[in-house]
Amino acid sequence: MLGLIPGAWAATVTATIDRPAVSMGESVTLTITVEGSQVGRPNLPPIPNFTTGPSTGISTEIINGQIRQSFTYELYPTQPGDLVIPSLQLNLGGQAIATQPITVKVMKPGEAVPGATLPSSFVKLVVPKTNLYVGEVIQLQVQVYSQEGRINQYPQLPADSGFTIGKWEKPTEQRVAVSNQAFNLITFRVPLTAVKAGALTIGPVTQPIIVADRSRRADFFFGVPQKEVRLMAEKIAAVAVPPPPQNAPPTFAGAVGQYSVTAAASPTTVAVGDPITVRIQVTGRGWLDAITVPPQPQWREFKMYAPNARIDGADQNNTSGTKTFEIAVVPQSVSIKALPPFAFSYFDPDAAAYRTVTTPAIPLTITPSTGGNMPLPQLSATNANAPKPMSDIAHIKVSPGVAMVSAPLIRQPWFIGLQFLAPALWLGLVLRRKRRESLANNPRLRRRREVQALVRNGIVQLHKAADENRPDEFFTRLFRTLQEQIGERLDVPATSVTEAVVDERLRPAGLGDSVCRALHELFQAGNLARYAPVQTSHELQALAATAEKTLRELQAWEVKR
Amino acid sequence: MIRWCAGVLFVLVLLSARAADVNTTFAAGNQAYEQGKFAEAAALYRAAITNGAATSGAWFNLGNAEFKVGNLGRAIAAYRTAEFATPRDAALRANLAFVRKKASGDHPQPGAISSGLRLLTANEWATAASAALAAFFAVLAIAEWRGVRGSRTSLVCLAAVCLLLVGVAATSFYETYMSRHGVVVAKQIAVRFGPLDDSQSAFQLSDGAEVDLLDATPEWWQVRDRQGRVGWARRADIAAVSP
Repeated sequence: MLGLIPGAWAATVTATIDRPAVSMGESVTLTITVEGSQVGRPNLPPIPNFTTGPSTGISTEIINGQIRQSFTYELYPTQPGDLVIPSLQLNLGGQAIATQPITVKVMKPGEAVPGATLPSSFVKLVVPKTNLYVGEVIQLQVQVYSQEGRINQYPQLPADSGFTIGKWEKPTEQRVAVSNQAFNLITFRVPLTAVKAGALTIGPVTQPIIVADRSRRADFFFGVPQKEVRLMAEKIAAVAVPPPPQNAPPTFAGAVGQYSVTAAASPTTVAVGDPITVRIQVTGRGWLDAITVPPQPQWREFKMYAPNARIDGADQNNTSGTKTFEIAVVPQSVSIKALPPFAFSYFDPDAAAYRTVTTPAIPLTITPSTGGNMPLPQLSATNANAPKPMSDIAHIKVSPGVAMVSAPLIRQPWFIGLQFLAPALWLGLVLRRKRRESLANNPRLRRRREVQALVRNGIVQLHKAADENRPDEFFTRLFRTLQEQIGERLDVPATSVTEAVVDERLRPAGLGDSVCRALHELFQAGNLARYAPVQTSHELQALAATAEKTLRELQAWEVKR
Repeated sequence: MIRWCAGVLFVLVLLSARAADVNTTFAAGNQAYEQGKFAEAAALYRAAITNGAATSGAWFNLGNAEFKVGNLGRAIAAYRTAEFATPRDAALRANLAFVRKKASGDHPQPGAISSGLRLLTANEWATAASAALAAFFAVLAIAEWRGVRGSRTSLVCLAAVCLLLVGVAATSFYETYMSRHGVVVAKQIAVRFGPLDDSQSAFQLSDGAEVDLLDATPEWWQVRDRQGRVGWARRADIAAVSP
């Protein structure tokens, strides 16, 4: 039963689908329409043979005072055939109302849908064969046919299908026509290697694709809304069998594919007991990662060491190219005349037969070992003092030792921050030098800075002299400070500044009347003090405040030039 | 304030009690080892490591105990873990080489660069690089302060040393914290083509074989041995080595 919020009575509920037949991988849109009642969005119960997609929509209309709500759901069929969406029970105001069952015909991918054209997007899986051998590499193609939309993800394959899945190659794109309709065909390729015998499955494959959502209105700012649709391709059954154990050559070590082999040895003239490096190159198609050096019965007169291997010129999945083994072999007898042929067997899955390729024998010149029958040399005095080989491990530690550090310093914020201290210091000093150089090249700026400092200090001293009632010092400093500030503003020597400058230079240059008046007052107070020096601390403080205000205004004033 | 001080004191007491407990477990492991109870000693060392005493000494002694029990792979894994903290410990190096020689599995032969990297821990390399950078900028700052120009050749040499140390520190960090390694801890394991029990065996590895860990599923590691062979091994058979 669908959970609905009842809103009214005498309501009707209908369920419809957008089309009666679809292909596998396509969705069918189920619309539940409720008329005559306002309800919340119903929660769709699980529907057999369908999965519910992420996109749902709601629309509400009021026609002639009657409310009609439509809820849409994207349903993806999980198998082909005639599938039934069963009757869905809705509870409206305590009254159970059932929708009618709906039959949907689901066609296999690529099959024509009755009464419909091809879907606008579908996916096909293509494999070259389905009867495989364990260890055989096949290339899976995922072909995405699309008339619209864009793809921003690789196809999704189940991981536990009995195959090792390689890395996806860069997809190719082309235009093709299918049933007289044009499609973009995007082909993804990935190698699969059967790693398990028995019945296996390839896929199912899911391919997300972004398409225009036509069930929603276009937005003025963002255009046509988009939605993600998951296209699905059915799984393909495959069978893997191990290479037949009968007739397997002794030099078969599990290689499946088509290969050729070359061998080289160096040096070819050695003493008994000296190593020869043999380079074996196996070139061809197959799972190169899985190729190992098979046992070589003919090399019994050589001591073989474990080979080193590398793969060259291969694709990103190592399914074609050259695998090179370097093996150190040590001749054990002077009677050896050649390195016997190297035999490499593989199972050719196309021919369903074992193949053995051999390299020619490599002539060798083996000389007797210089130390073979000679007595071991006596240890010299130095050798006698050399440490003897260990016969046991060093004893346990008595103390726990240092703690293991799990967090690297490089990830510690404080450590990262520390790295910026020295560069910041250096940068600061560089900036300081640049500033000094800038001042040195600009005498007016330098003078301005100096006068600013002088005025700053002068104001402090004026207040101090006023507080301590020292009128002589007060007026001397006041006069000098005014001279310096006015001289700097007018770009004239400070000593040339007198009260006359106020009217002759400052006022014509645009200094305000109030400041000019204040300057006159200050200059005259200074003149008066020479003849009537008795001033109270209170008077001096008032003059200091006026001087400070006037000097600030002078500093803020720019001469009109 | 008094409450806060009391809380701090309580936490310190708890921490010291826990440290004492862990040290006791370590000492008990040493006692069991001296009595020849190697399996018991290994269990005690593991308990000490799990409970907060993940120290180089605990890992070293665990390696010794595992070796005495006959678990060569587990011993190598423990020594290699201890190596992250004390790479210059001569006893550790000797024991690791000794156990590797005893193990039938393959083991890496470090080259000159790798050996050089292992002279210091990743954090020591980072500190050295940091100090070199600080010295470089300090020299620049002093020259700036005194208003003198330093020798261009000296500065280039110093910058080259800084870059080299930063490169080495980055490599050491990658080797220690980004690349993953493991050791086979079962007597003999089949490495399979795929992460499935049904998958065909690609090759065999024996106890103590050291591998690179390339990929993982919840139950399997994708491993690459020293011959470059790649396959999947059960997680239970591989001990991952990490600092």
